[in-house]
Amino acid sequence: MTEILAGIAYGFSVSLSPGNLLACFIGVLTGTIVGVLPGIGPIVTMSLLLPIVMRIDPTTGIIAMAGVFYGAMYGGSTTSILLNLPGEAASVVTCIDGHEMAKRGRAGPALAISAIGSFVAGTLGVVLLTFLAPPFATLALAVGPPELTAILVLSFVLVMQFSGGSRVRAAASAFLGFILASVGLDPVEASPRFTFGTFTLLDGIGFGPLVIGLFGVAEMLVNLETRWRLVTTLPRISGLWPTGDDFRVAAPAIARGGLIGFFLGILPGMGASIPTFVSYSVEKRLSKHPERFGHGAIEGVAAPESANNAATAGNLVPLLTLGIAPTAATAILMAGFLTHGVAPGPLLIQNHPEIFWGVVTSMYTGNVMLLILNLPLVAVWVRLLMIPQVYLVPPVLLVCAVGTYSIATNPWDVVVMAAFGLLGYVMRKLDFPAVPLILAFVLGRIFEEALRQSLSMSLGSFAIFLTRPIALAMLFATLAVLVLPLISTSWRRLRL
Amino acid sequence: MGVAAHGLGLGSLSTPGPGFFPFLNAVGLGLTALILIVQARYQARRDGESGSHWPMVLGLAMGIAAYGILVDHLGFPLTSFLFLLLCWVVVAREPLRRSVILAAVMAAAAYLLFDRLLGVRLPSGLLGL
Repeated sequence: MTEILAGIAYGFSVSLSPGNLLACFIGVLTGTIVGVLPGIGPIVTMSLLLPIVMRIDPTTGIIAMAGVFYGAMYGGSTTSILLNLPGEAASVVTCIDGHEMAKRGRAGPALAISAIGSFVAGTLGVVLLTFLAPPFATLALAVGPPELTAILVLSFVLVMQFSGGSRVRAAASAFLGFILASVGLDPVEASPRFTFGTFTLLDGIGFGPLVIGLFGVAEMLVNLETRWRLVTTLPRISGLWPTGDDFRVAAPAIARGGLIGFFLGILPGMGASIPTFVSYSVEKRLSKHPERFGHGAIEGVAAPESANNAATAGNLVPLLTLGIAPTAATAILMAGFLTHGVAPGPLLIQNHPEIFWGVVTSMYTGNVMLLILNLPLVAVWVRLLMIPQVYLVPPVLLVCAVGTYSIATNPWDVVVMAAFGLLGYVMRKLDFPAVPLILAFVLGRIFEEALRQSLSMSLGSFAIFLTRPIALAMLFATLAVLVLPLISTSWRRLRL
Repeated sequence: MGVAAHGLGLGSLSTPGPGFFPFLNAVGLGLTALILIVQARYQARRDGESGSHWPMVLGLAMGIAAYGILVDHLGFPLTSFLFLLLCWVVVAREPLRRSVILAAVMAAAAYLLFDRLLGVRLPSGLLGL
């Protein structure tokens, strides 16, 4: 316990330095703007930051990237409430009651409660992260290659399950990601694979071009079909502050949303959006007046907004303690770590306490900054929405191209980015989820290393996964995740 | 429904070391491709595929790739200007004069942002900037 408190103190000494404070501010500001603007999301922005993060101090870089990550959760609710257009996936549920409130002239309180809930739950999430991560990391030291392999198998099955839509497609996406990750030098023996005899491919496919292309460029290519024209009319906002009644009703929703968000966020594949659906349904079920939901119930806004912010903190638990990125956004954070040769994982706290505690404490200050940015300055962001998309997309494409180019001053990276943009477009049209691909790409090397090390430990026998208790438990969980949905669908069919 | 049947099935490098992981994944990919093909056969054709403008999309993607290749030769400001112009005039069908002005302004702003503010190494090419 005292270690944790010492860590917190140390962390603040790092994160409150002027440079890091500025980085935090830029991160959360960018995150808010990006969250407000539909069509560009935190994932693309974070990957565009990679070339910059590579060149500066790792702590500062990660503080900024993390700021974009949870900042976008604040901004996303603005468009959901005002325009019934989610800023990103985690704000979809907020549209339901949020926009209803806006239609009834209560946009102000909706926006305010959303910001307040995000702040309270976000801070709660960081507190939980602060106190749960270090002991978790100690536990994680007991994880060896077989356990890691099993955990990764479970993670991917969870991601497959929760990707929405066909699980088979998600699996295909993941397999493709693993294969793409295999390009380059093999992790155990360092022999070249799939390089077709070129030097460029010896390093493997660049993460930057892949992500920026697959998420950013693809998104804009898909929007091409509307010629980038989206008409926006905004409802009136008057009377910003929620009433006392609002607070009374929303407070428990915020608390529950925060807890649900954090603990679900720890699981891979959850991201920040599934916790929002779960917390909304929970609130509705626990409510004494469920019929209010869908007609402007303020708890319907408070709960999901709190959940998505707490979930960002939860997402960081596996990354910082196990070195596993549970979502696409955390995968990019992980890439940020890796460009400095810092491996997130159980030893992060010991080897790089300034990074761990610096980043964690920066999230407290970040949340405070976001509260200030989102409450009084909401009107400013609303102005931003009035800019037609047409004028935004090509410059953003340009930024993507330049950003990718600047990673290695390599023009071919831009070509790769364009190719992945095209792939992303095709995948979108054919309903293949892109998230499993990204996760597989990032975690591919680790997975392969763990798998091969396990097999060499057991001299080729797969039984090693069954004899070690943690690994066995993970594999049971995997089976459960795979089998349960099949059982419940058959059950439903039998009942009908 | 488009059948994404790209089951590679290639597991190069028969040495159990490096070839093992890709092989497993190729098998996985091939299997899922098979399942998807079978699924597609049993599903009715999705009605009204929203007119996909895929030639335009392909063109834009190639345009982006061209940007990458040309930027070293033509220099950052010029290539950026041309790219933006292409997007606005050809893709979005914005009026020509407005697009030219906007593209010039944006290209200049981008140059200032990336070269001056962020200190990124940019190729100078034709305009010698």
